[in-house]
Amino acid sequence: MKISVIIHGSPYSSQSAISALAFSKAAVKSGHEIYQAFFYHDGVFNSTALSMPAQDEKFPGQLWAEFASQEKIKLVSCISSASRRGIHDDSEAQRHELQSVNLNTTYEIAGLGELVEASLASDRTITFGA
Amino acid sequence: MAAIQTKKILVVCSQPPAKGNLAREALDAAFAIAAFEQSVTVYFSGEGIWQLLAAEQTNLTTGKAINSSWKAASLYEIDELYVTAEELAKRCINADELIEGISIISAKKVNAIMNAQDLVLSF
Repeated sequence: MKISVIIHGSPYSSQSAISALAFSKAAVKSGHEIYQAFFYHDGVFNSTALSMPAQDEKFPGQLWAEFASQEKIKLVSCISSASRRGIHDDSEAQRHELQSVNLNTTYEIAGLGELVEASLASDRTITFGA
Repeated sequence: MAAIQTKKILVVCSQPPAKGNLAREALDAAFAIAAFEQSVTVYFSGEGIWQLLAAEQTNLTTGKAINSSWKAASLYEIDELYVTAEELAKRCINADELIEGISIISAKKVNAIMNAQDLVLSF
């Protein structure tokens, strides 16, 4: 089965990203495909490249990046949620004339159209709420 | 992207208007999805009902009241916005206190509405 997941929760105030990751790993292990992970609302905080937790901890957004690279899963950080919260890729930073770029490059910034496309292409779309 | 297919998508709004930005972002999602020619229905559940009070004038985080934005739903061809009579009664809200264009249904109909969808997105 083709599955997409939506993540609404911020990495340190919600279980959303970690639950979605555990679910996705279990799904892949059972022979399903994760088509896309769409980060919306506070979920976009997972897509920052600048989080530096303690050495014996892992940042939920980085765990997602590692899993996505391994399984070739598209990670999308919603542009409207991300812009509001100060998460920008190169082109957005240039467009708004900002001083810095902080998107983890395993993620891409895109619009809700990506979510529509993913939900049309997937058999199931599952939200992990904030 | 090319969204040729049309799916029936239910957006469930259960967040009150003054708690963070999720109510606003649910509305953004509903309108954006409708703009991609999907058939969008909205169901306001639980504390999400407070988004529909006609008397709301502002919002603490963004300054924009969400009730007036929902009034624009028909411009996106979102014509089905539901709330249940039971949940209104629980909160002592009268139908005449809501913005226009909201359909009040009985809680028994919610299952049928959900079952008619291809996809349910919860906010």
